[in-house]
Amino acid sequence: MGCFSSKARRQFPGHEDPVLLASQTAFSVSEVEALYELYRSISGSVIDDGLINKEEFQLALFKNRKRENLFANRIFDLFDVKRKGFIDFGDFVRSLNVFHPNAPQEDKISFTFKLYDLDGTGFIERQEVKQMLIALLCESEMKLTDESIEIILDKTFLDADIDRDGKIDKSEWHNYVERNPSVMKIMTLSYLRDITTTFPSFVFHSEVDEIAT
Amino acid sequence: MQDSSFLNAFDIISHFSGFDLSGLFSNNGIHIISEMYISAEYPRKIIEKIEEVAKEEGMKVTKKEKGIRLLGNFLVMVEINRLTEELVMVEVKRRGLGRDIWKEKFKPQLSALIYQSERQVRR
Repeated sequence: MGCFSSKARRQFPGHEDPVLLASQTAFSVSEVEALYELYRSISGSVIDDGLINKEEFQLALFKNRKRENLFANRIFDLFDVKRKGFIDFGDFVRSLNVFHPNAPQEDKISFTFKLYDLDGTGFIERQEVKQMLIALLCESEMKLTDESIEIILDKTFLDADIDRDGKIDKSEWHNYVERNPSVMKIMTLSYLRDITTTFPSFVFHSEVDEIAT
Repeated sequence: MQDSSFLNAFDIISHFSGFDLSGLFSNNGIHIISEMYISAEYPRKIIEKIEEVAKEEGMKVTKKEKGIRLLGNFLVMVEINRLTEELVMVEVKRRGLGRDIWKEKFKPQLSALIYQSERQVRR
């Protein structure tokens, strides 16, 4: 991880003004700068084009293991807000912002709803939850009988699907999350609150400082 | 045991490593390895076995409400939650440098306790 002139940085596609991004998120300017260093290393890992493609995203998540993964795909799709096929720096910061401890709970709930609504119908259907469970079991060393899977699904939907129509709508999801806050655990990364101290190996220059000199 | 204390489908799904963004932030290769197992054994029996191996390896053992914490060259956190009437889910998170003691010493000893749906372990 080296330093490079901010002039060169501005030429990279995908870069966005850190002051603007800081104003739109819970991150400070120096935190956005630190995130940019992380972004640079991820976006350059396969193709050095300043953008994060799906392969680079998976590599970053799983380190040495590059693999197709239902969940990594879902997260990638949600980060890639405008469905361009890649994540630019603005996408990166704004999406990570949802995981910030200070981000509104509403945004976190929306994110998980979209995450689990695999086909984007506006409902989390039983079939989708079953699909995710089975994908998880295939990926890990766990085996469950069909019967056990159905028991788990029955219990989940008994709790969440209040109008018994076989799917969970947005308001049912809200209700469910309030009664089962553990489900939202994944939506908060506490170390995002203090990124510049958590990752002192990031070396950065503040663009604001350089403009002044 | 109350039904509400069982894990629900979203609890299980959200434990999956694809949702764990911490991989994006780990540097120097020190990252958390997370694994899950299913068992038809009593949690107490699983914990006892883990404790036995940990003491053999000279690790520091701390009992927790739902699991156990081990400290050696690796830090290992084990948490056990109930999945169904018969099954529990064992979650193991570990981090460290050097020899992966969990993989080498603990896993072989625990393999008999892991649930294989082809041969159900009845209590």
